Amino acid sequence: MSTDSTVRVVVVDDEPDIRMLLDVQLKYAQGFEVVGLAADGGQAVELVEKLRPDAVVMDLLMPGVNGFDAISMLQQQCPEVGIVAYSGVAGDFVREEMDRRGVEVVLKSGDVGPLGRALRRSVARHHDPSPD
Amino acid sequence: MEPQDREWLEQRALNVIGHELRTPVSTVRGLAEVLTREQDPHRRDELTAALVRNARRLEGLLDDLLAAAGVTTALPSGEAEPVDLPDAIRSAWDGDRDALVVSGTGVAVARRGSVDRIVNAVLDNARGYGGTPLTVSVSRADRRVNAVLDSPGPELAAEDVRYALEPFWRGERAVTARPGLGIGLPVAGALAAHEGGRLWVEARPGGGLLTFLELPAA
Repeated sequence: MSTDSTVRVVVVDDEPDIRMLLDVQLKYAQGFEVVGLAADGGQAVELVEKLRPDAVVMDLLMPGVNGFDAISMLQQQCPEVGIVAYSGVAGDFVREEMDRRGVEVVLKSGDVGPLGRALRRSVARHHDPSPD
Repeated sequence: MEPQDREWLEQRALNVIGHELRTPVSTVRGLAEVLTREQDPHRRDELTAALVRNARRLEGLLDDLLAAAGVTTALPSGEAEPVDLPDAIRSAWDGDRDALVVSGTGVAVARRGSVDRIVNAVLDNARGYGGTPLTVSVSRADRRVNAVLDSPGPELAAEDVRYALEPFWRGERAVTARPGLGIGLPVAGALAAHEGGRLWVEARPGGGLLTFLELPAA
């Protein structure tokens, strides 16, 4: 992490309003710095490779390279980066796919609290890979 | 539709509605909360505009759900008027100019609101599921105006074509590509019928979809 406990985050979502909202919400949530915004999975991989954030907030359903594929790419190319899947859809298929990848799923919410806690857990797992 | 498909669709409908409403509702809540804290006037304007957009999106989703359920009060009211169909299609397109080719002429008599929603839904469906360029041919026959949208793309499963106008049915490609209720084409079909016309789809030879719209002519 960049400073004591500041988590540097890249936000990935195809909806501009959600990118803007998370940018502002994480600004007000203590201990996060949004260092980059991406509109699809392809942009996300490029941005993460360049910026090397602590964690990524990843939407799943996106045109072009979707979140499922982008997560697989990031886990291969940037395994030190924590990932949280942030989705409006979290049925059995999504849960199973994310469990298989070891990625926590947070259902989209107006409350940024659960996302912030999941981001911190994802970063902690990469610093201490033993089970929670 | 087969009974097991019907049962699957009914279960899916509740699931999809819940998920699809969740994004704009949670976005509206989040935007409203950060607006109470944000001091930067420029940022406040951006957040307010986003709040209005998402509230409208929510309202549109609810209108579409009611229309898909056959609630006619959710359909546009007012008087039918002459609508130049090629112009309406070109106006609705917000993608690359080269990605849509519209040819032919035809003036329909319909409520403008219906035509706009039909055209938007059909173009959105084609853009989301297929490739480009999209080509639209408009013609007049007897007292009808016909538009055929040719959208190339991967070959679609037979059931994706057969059930394309069934609410909540979504093709395999759509499920991981983007969110959506799966009611765009069904609502467009309901609107076409509301205007005295009809909408249907067929598999495109070589892959993709052909979408047919027929409306009363001026």
